[in-house]
Amino acid sequence: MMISITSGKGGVGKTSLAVNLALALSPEYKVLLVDADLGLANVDIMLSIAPKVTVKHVLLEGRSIREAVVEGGYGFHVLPAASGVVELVQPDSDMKGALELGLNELASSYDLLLFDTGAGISPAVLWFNCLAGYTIVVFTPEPTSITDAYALIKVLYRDYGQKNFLLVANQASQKEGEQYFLHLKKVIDSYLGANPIFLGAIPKDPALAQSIRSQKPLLAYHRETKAAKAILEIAEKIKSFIPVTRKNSLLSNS
Amino acid sequence: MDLERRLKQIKEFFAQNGHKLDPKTGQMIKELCSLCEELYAQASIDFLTGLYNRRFFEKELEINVEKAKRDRSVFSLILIDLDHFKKVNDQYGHLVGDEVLKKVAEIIKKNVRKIDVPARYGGEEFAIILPATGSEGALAVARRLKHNINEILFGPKDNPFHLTASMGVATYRPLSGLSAEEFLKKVDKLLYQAKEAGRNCIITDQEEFVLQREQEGITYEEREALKGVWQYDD
Ligand SMILES: Nc1ncnc2c1ncn2[C@@H]1O[C@H](COP(=O)(O)OP(=O)(O)OP(=O)(O)O)[C@@H](O)[C@H]1O
Ligand SMILES: [Mg+2]
Repeated sequence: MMISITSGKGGVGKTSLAVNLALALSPEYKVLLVDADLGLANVDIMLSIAPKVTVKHVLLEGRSIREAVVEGGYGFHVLPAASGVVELVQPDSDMKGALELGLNELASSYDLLLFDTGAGISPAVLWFNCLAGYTIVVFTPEPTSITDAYALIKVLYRDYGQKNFLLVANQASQKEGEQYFLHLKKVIDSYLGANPIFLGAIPKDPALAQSIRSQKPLLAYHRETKAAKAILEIAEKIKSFIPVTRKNSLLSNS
Repeated sequence: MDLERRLKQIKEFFAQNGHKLDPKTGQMIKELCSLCEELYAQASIDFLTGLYNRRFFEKELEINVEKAKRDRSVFSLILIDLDHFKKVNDQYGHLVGDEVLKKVAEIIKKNVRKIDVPARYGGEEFAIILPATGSEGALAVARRLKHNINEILFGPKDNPFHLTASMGVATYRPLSGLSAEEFLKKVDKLLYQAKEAGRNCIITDQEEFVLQREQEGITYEEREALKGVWQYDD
């Protein structure tokens, strides 16, 4: 089972959501958080980990993908990306082929692979999104972010065959987020024919911004804040998309 | 497909009601069923390789085009041609040639999913329909196949040889409006280009596709409709 977290516009909260979702789901599921922004890693910073082996060593130096997997420190595992490695920003077909094989292999030992992708419609981002069974699209209530989210959904739906979109409104109240979603859904439905699902909204919360500065996931220590509660609710909804078949692997592996 | 299901139904019916007939008639009908099944198998499977045959493939291709148009989805097609296969037949004989085709078919079977449709399209030509697969996914499969075909040793143990393959890969997009036949022709052209380029390579329609996507972007109507998202009134 693979789910990608993506956005049309950058900086809308993908990595914060990815890290906290991985944490929220990990007591119940075996989760691997994949830093899918291969050449510009984010996840390691957010978790304050300094991996020695990254996807760079796997794709450019032939190390096995399992060697790169590390503990995230909060109950889930991480496949770290490299920082500032230009060759990885747009991986070629050979790298993608190798990566696809590796990820498929890893997927067999986890309940869930979560991809934290880069923003936009670059081939690498699109590739990760079409590898995943579901794509979570994060947007904020601004015209640019919404337009870019729509453009991304359009390309993925029309050209890459991705059909399953889960939407998250960030920096928005529940009510606001829902309104935005309903209007956006109408446009998506009438122009593309896709049928996106709303996962929920995450309110603007200084505690979330603070947690990023302190390089600790919000859910690791402040579960009572507005944003934390919203993310927990989103995690709850995501559970319905994860097949239960592999639950046993959690017991036998940990 | 439906024929198969119908046959099964009829057989089940006979398993329950066959005893009411006189034994001779029952026997004949049973035989008729077996003959039908055999015919059905002949009609869709290539006997040598166990892959689907050309007829079945062409039908599937049409179904996939119709489905893509209806669901606004995409699928991909890989055409594979073994390089210098004639030489194998000439130098090693047809038996070895047949073994090669079987081995390649095995490689193909191992590398596709249950929903894919791998077929023997001609003498040494293979075709694979990959439903719900975009260009990147199809390219990954083609690369894997090419690699595996290059790796394997064919022929007699004391005089083995390597083979290469040329491939054309394209993704069907409903917006193109192409018919199944036109799409097939297009991919065949890509395969031909791969041969022209010196064989042992994969040619895709990707450049064309990137261009097409850039041209299409978001339309004026969509832009106007999106305004409603942030300009709504409570
Ligand atoms: N709900 C929120 N409340 C307050 N601040 C937020 C919220 N969501 C995101 N932010 C702020 O937005 C910044 C960007 O978040 P994040 O790094 O998760 O985005 P991203 O989509 O992963 O960015 P990129 O596209 O660069 O990978 C964070 O530093 C954080 O301070
Ligand atoms: Mg990020």
